[in-house]
Amino acid sequence: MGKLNLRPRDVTHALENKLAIAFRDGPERNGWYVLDGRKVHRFTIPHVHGRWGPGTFNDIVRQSALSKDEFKSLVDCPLKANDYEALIRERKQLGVS
Amino acid sequence: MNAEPVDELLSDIPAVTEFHAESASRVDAHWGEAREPFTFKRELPLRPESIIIDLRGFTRIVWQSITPSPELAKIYAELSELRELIQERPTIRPTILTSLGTTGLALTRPIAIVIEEWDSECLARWPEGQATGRGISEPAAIESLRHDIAFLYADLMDTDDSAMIPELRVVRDVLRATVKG
Repeated sequence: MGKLNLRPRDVTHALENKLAIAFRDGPERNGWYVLDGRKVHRFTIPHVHGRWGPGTFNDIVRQSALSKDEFKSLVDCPLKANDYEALIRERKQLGVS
Repeated sequence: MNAEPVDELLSDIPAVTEFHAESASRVDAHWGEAREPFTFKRELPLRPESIIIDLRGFTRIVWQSITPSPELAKIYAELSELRELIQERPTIRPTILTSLGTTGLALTRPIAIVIEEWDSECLARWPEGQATGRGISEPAAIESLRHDIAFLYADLMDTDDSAMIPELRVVRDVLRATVKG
Protein backbone atom coordinates (compact mmCIF):
# COMPACT_ATOMS: atom_id res chain seq x y z
CA MET A 1 0.00 0.00 0.00
CA GLY A 2 1.65 3.23 -1.11
CA LYS A 3 0.97 6.89 -0.48
CA LEU A 4 -2.50 8.23 -1.15
CA ASN A 5 -1.24 11.15 -3.26
CA LEU A 6 -4.54 13.00 -2.98
CA ARG A 7 -5.05 16.74 -2.92
CA PRO A 8 -6.85 18.32 0.06
CA ARG A 9 -9.18 20.15 -2.34
CA ASP A 10 -10.20 16.87 -4.05
CA VAL A 11 -10.82 15.10 -0.74
CA THR A 12 -12.94 17.99 0.55
CA HIS A 13 -14.82 18.16 -2.76
CA ALA A 14 -15.56 14.40 -2.73
CA LEU A 15 -16.85 14.46 0.85
CA GLU A 16 -18.99 17.54 0.29
CA ASN A 17 -20.38 16.67 -3.11
CA LYS A 18 -20.41 12.88 -3.28
CA LEU A 19 -21.31 12.10 0.33
CA ALA A 20 -23.24 15.35 0.90
CA ILE A 21 -21.36 16.13 4.09
CA ALA A 22 -22.37 19.55 5.41
CA PHE A 23 -19.25 20.69 7.21
CA ARG A 24 -19.42 23.11 10.10
CA ASP A 25 -16.48 25.48 10.29
CA GLY A 26 -14.37 25.78 13.41
CA PRO A 27 -10.67 25.28 14.11
CA GLU A 28 -11.30 22.15 11.97
CA ARG A 29 -14.26 21.24 9.78
CA ASN A 30 -16.77 18.77 11.22
CA GLY A 31 -19.61 17.03 9.43
CA TRP A 32 -21.73 13.88 9.60
CA TYR A 33 -22.33 11.21 7.01
CA VAL A 34 -26.10 10.76 7.21
CA LEU A 35 -28.00 7.72 5.96
CA ASP A 36 -31.78 7.29 6.18
CA GLY A 37 -31.91 10.48 8.25
CA ARG A 38 -29.53 9.05 10.86
CA LYS A 39 -25.99 10.13 11.72
CA VAL A 40 -23.62 7.31 10.81
CA HIS A 41 -20.10 8.61 11.29
CA ARG A 42 -18.32 11.89 11.54
CA PHE A 43 -15.65 13.43 9.33
CA THR A 44 -13.20 15.88 10.86
CA ILE A 45 -10.92 17.45 8.28
CA PRO A 46 -8.58 20.45 8.24
CA HIS A 47 -9.42 23.50 6.17
CA VAL A 48 -8.22 23.17 2.57
CA HIS A 49 -5.19 25.37 3.22
CA GLY A 50 -4.48 23.80 6.62
CA ARG A 51 -2.00 21.06 7.49
CA TRP A 52 -2.69 17.81 5.62
CA GLY A 53 0.08 15.41 6.56
CA PRO A 54 0.08 11.64 6.06
CA GLY A 55 -1.38 11.19 9.56
CA THR A 56 -4.31 13.42 8.67
CA PHE A 57 -4.97 11.55 5.42
CA ASN A 58 -4.78 8.23 7.30
CA ASP A 59 -7.23 9.53 9.89
CA ILE A 60 -9.71 10.64 7.22
CA VAL A 61 -9.51 7.20 5.59
CA ARG A 62 -10.16 5.64 9.00
CA GLN A 63 -13.18 7.91 9.53
CA SER A 64 -14.59 6.87 6.15
CA ALA A 65 -14.61 3.15 7.11
CA LEU A 66 -12.93 2.40 3.78
CA SER A 67 -9.56 0.92 2.86
CA LYS A 68 -6.97 3.26 1.36
CA ASP A 69 -7.65 1.93 -2.13
CA GLU A 70 -11.40 2.34 -1.71
CA PHE A 71 -10.96 5.87 -0.39
CA LYS A 72 -8.75 6.75 -3.35
CA SER A 73 -11.50 5.42 -5.62
CA LEU A 74 -14.03 7.56 -3.81
CA VAL A 75 -11.97 10.70 -4.35
CA ASP A 76 -10.78 9.85 -7.87
CA CYS A 77 -14.34 9.00 -8.95
CA PRO A 78 -14.79 5.28 -9.76
CA LEU A 79 -16.52 4.71 -6.39
CA LYS A 80 -19.90 6.45 -6.59
CA ALA A 81 -22.04 7.73 -3.73
CA ASN A 82 -24.40 4.74 -3.93
CA ASP A 83 -21.43 2.32 -3.94
CA TYR A 84 -20.20 3.98 -0.75
CA GLU A 85 -23.67 3.76 0.75
CA ALA A 86 -23.83 0.03 -0.03
CA LEU A 87 -20.41 -0.56 1.55
CA ILE A 88 -21.35 1.32 4.72
CA ARG A 89 -24.71 -0.47 5.00
CA GLU A 90 -22.87 -3.77 4.80
CA ARG A 91 -20.01 -2.85 7.15
CA LYS A 92 -22.20 -1.25 9.80
CA GLN A 93 -24.98 -3.81 9.33
CA LEU A 94 -27.55 -1.11 8.68
CA GLY A 95 -29.78 -2.97 6.24
CA VAL A 96 -31.67 -1.26 3.42
CA SER A 97 -34.41 1.16 4.31
CA MET B 1 50.03 11.16 -5.97
CA ASN B 2 49.37 8.28 -3.71
CA ALA B 3 46.50 5.81 -4.18
CA GLU B 4 45.69 2.91 -1.91
CA PRO B 5 42.75 0.69 -0.84
CA VAL B 6 40.47 2.59 1.46
CA ASP B 7 38.05 0.37 3.34
CA GLU B 8 40.05 0.46 6.54
CA LEU B 9 40.98 4.15 6.14
CA LEU B 10 37.43 5.46 5.74
CA SER B 11 36.61 5.31 9.43
CA ASP B 12 39.27 8.00 10.08
CA ILE B 13 37.96 10.41 7.48
CA PRO B 14 35.60 13.25 8.45
CA ALA B 15 32.20 13.55 6.80
CA VAL B 16 32.48 14.39 3.13
CA THR B 17 30.66 17.59 2.31
CA GLU B 18 31.19 18.13 -1.39
CA PHE B 19 30.93 15.91 -4.42
CA HIS B 20 31.13 16.05 -8.16
CA ALA B 21 30.41 13.47 -10.83
CA GLU B 22 32.96 12.61 -13.47
CA SER B 23 30.69 10.17 -15.23
CA ALA B 24 27.38 8.47 -14.73
CA SER B 25 29.00 5.56 -12.97
CA ARG B 26 31.68 7.36 -11.00
CA VAL B 27 31.29 9.93 -8.28
CA ASP B 28 34.23 11.64 -6.62
CA ALA B 29 33.99 13.06 -3.16
CA HIS B 30 36.23 15.95 -2.20
CA TRP B 31 37.02 18.12 0.71
CA GLY B 32 39.89 20.41 1.58
CA GLU B 33 39.17 22.95 -1.14
CA ALA B 34 36.12 24.49 -2.73
CA ARG B 35 34.53 22.43 -5.50
CA GLU B 36 31.30 22.64 -7.40
CA PRO B 37 28.55 21.16 -5.24
CA PHE B 38 26.94 17.96 -6.39
CA THR B 39 23.63 16.57 -5.19
CA PHE B 40 24.64 13.18 -3.91
CA LYS B 41 22.04 10.49 -4.45
CA ARG B 42 22.26 8.40 -1.29
CA GLU B 43 20.28 5.56 -2.77
CA LEU B 44 22.86 5.14 -5.56
CA PRO B 45 24.73 1.94 -4.72
CA LEU B 46 28.32 3.10 -4.33
CA ARG B 47 31.44 1.71 -2.79
CA PRO B 48 34.72 3.48 -2.11
CA GLU B 49 37.32 2.49 -4.70
CA SER B 50 40.42 4.38 -3.65
CA ILE B 51 41.65 7.30 -1.63
CA ILE B 52 44.01 9.79 -3.21
CA ILE B 53 46.14 12.32 -1.38
CA ASP B 54 47.65 14.76 -3.84
CA LEU B 55 50.95 16.63 -3.53
CA ARG B 56 49.23 19.66 -1.96
CA GLY B 57 47.84 17.45 0.79
CA PHE B 58 44.25 17.46 -0.45
CA THR B 59 42.42 14.19 0.03
CA ARG B 60 39.97 12.63 -2.36
CA ILE B 61 37.85 9.48 -2.26
CA VAL B 62 36.88 7.90 -5.53
CA TRP B 63 33.49 6.22 -5.31
CA GLN B 64 32.79 3.43 -7.75
CA SER B 65 29.19 2.67 -8.56
CA ILE B 66 28.16 -0.94 -8.23
CA THR B 67 26.29 -2.37 -11.17
CA PRO B 68 23.86 -4.65 -9.39
CA SER B 69 22.85 -8.06 -10.62
CA PRO B 70 19.10 -8.40 -11.35
CA GLU B 71 18.65 -10.08 -7.95
CA LEU B 72 20.52 -7.28 -6.18
CA ALA B 73 18.60 -4.64 -8.14
CA LYS B 74 15.37 -6.23 -6.95
CA ILE B 75 16.59 -6.08 -3.35
CA TYR B 76 17.54 -2.39 -3.77
CA ALA B 77 14.06 -1.66 -5.14
CA GLU B 78 12.37 -3.52 -2.30
CA LEU B 79 14.57 -1.72 0.25
CA SER B 80 13.59 1.66 -1.22
CA GLU B 81 9.92 0.68 -1.03
CA LEU B 82 10.35 -0.54 2.54
CA ARG B 83 12.12 2.71 3.52
CA GLU B 84 9.18 4.67 2.07
CA LEU B 85 6.68 2.54 3.97
CA ILE B 86 8.55 2.98 7.24
CA GLN B 87 8.57 6.76 6.75
CA GLU B 88 4.78 6.59 6.38
CA ARG B 89 4.33 4.87 9.72
CA PRO B 90 3.90 6.87 12.89
CA THR B 91 5.37 6.24 16.30
CA ILE B 92 2.39 5.17 18.38
CA ARG B 93 2.16 5.15 22.16
CA PRO B 94 -0.63 5.19 24.72
CA THR B 95 -1.07 7.84 27.37
CA ILE B 96 -3.72 9.09 29.79
CA LEU B 97 -5.83 12.23 29.51
CA THR B 98 -6.95 13.57 32.87
CA SER B 99 -8.72 16.84 32.03
CA LEU B 100 -10.58 18.67 29.28
CA GLY B 101 -8.61 21.88 29.87
CA THR B 102 -10.34 25.10 28.86
CA THR B 103 -13.40 23.55 27.23
CA GLY B 104 -15.59 24.16 30.30
CA LEU B 105 -16.19 20.41 30.63
CA ALA B 106 -14.58 17.87 32.94
CA LEU B 107 -13.76 14.18 32.83
CA THR B 108 -15.33 11.83 35.38
CA ARG B 109 -12.32 9.53 35.05
CA PRO B 110 -8.96 9.60 33.25
CA ILE B 111 -9.24 8.24 29.72
CA ALA B 112 -6.78 6.17 27.67
CA ILE B 113 -5.71 7.97 24.50
CA VAL B 114 -3.24 7.18 21.73
CA ILE B 115 -0.53 9.53 20.49
CA GLU B 116 0.54 9.13 16.84
CA GLU B 117 3.73 11.00 16.03
CA TRP B 118 4.32 11.51 12.32
CA ASP B 119 7.21 13.34 10.63
CA SER B 120 5.34 16.60 10.24
CA GLU B 121 2.37 16.33 12.59
CA CYS B 122 1.01 14.68 15.69
CA LEU B 123 -2.40 13.08 16.29
CA ALA B 124 -4.07 12.38 19.63
CA ARG B 125 -6.94 9.88 19.44
CA TRP B 126 -9.51 8.65 21.90
CA PRO B 127 -10.71 5.48 20.14
CA GLU B 128 -13.47 4.71 22.65
CA GLY B 129 -15.04 8.13 22.12
CA GLN B 130 -14.23 8.35 18.39
CA ALA B 131 -12.53 11.72 18.86
CA THR B 132 -9.27 12.94 17.32
CA GLY B 133 -7.06 15.98 17.71
CA ARG B 134 -4.31 17.15 15.39
CA GLY B 135 -1.41 19.54 15.80
CA ILE B 136 2.22 20.19 15.06
CA SER B 137 3.20 18.88 18.50
CA GLU B 138 1.82 16.53 21.14
CA PRO B 139 0.50 19.33 23.41
CA ALA B 140 -1.24 20.94 20.40
CA ALA B 141 -2.78 17.61 19.36
CA ILE B 142 -4.00 16.93 22.90
CA GLU B 143 -5.53 20.40 23.14
CA SER B 144 -7.25 19.83 19.80
CA LEU B 145 -8.51 16.44 21.06
CA ARG B 146 -10.03 18.12 24.14
CA HIS B 147 -11.98 20.47 21.89
CA ASP B 148 -13.04 17.62 19.61
CA ILE B 149 -14.40 15.70 22.62
CA ALA B 150 -16.30 18.80 23.74
CA PHE B 151 -17.69 19.30 20.23
CA LEU B 152 -18.78 15.66 19.93
CA TYR B 153 -20.29 15.66 23.42
CA ALA B 154 -22.40 18.74 22.67
CA ASP B 155 -23.43 17.39 19.28
CA LEU B 156 -24.49 13.90 20.43
CA MET B 157 -26.22 15.10 23.61
CA ASP B 158 -28.32 17.24 21.30
CA THR B 159 -29.23 14.36 18.97
CA ASP B 160 -32.25 12.09 19.40
CA ASP B 161 -31.69 8.34 19.55
CA SER B 162 -33.71 7.95 16.36
CA ALA B 163 -31.31 10.28 14.54
CA MET B 164 -28.19 8.15 15.03
CA ILE B 165 -27.22 4.57 14.28
CA PRO B 166 -26.87 2.13 17.23
CA GLU B 167 -23.04 2.20 17.02
CA LEU B 168 -23.14 5.95 17.61
CA ARG B 169 -25.47 5.55 20.58
CA VAL B 170 -22.72 3.50 22.22
CA VAL B 171 -20.29 6.38 21.67
CA ARG B 172 -22.86 8.83 23.07
CA ASP B 173 -23.24 6.61 26.18
CA VAL B 174 -19.45 6.49 26.62
CA LEU B 175 -19.34 10.29 26.41
CA ARG B 176 -22.25 10.63 28.83
CA ALA B 177 -20.43 8.42 31.36
CA THR B 178 -17.05 10.08 30.90
CA VAL B 179 -17.74 13.79 30.44
CA LYS B 180 -19.66 16.12 32.69
CA GLY B 181 -20.73 19.62 31.88
